[in-house]
Amino acid sequence: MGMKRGLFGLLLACIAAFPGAAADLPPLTHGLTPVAEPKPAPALRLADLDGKPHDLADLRGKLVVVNFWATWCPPCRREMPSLEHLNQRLQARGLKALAVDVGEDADTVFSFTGQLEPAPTFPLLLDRDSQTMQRWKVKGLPTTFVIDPQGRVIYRAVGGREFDHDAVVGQLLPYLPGR
Amino acid sequence: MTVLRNDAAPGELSFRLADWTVQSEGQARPPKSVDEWAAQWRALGLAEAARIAFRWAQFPPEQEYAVGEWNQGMLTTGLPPGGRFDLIARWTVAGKPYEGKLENVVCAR
Repeated sequence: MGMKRGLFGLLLACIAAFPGAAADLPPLTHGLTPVAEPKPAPALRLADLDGKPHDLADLRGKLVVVNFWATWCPPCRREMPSLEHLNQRLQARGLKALAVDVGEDADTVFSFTGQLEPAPTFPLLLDRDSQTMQRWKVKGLPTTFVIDPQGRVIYRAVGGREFDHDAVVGQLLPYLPGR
Repeated sequence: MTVLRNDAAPGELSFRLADWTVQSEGQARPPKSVDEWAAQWRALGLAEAARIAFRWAQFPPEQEYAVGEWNQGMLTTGLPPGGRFDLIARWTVAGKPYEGKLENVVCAR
């Protein structure tokens, strides 16, 4: 067995050994992973920053993007503006974005998203005890799922994305209810 | 910070950190696990929000990556500042095993 170059990148940044490495941000990627056998999405019932409850089941008929994230997660922070761009571009055609923050309070989330340009206009939900994230079998942040109008998980994305990239938009278009 | 990504592998890449090895001063062991950390923080009475943030800032204990998927997170060796070690990473692509070694890594002081 040996290191097969070009297959993947492994970066272990230890500042004393590699002084420049930590400054190089890993690129956000441009594709969603199709789920081979779409299954019904797990339950998602959470309150937003204002305490208003949201239930994924109420969004049947829409194409829903569920993004699990946290303010201390660097790729989550980087991809968030692109999720808002995607939301603005496709919401009139039936796309709905939901961002689920893990483990933080409303003040923490609000103070971060208030700095973003553009600031998110989609619901920011709070999973204070991380139980929802674990029910969705998230293994690392950020992780994003796309739920079709029938309520099935059809795509996943592990790691940061540019959600407004044409490649991602092209994957979503066929599933929009208002094509 | 550790970053692992599948940019162009001909299949799904998967790994378990429990299969990786930190070699230092003649000793070999896997990276410190999130379960070890959780037990340590719970014993110290750390607040839930802090424990959740620490847990999910760690590199995933196991993961599968299709092309384009990746994570970044912290990987802890359990060594003191200035500790020197080799890291042997192991993963599979479409079930075929691979390994790579990062030698003589030095922890920041």
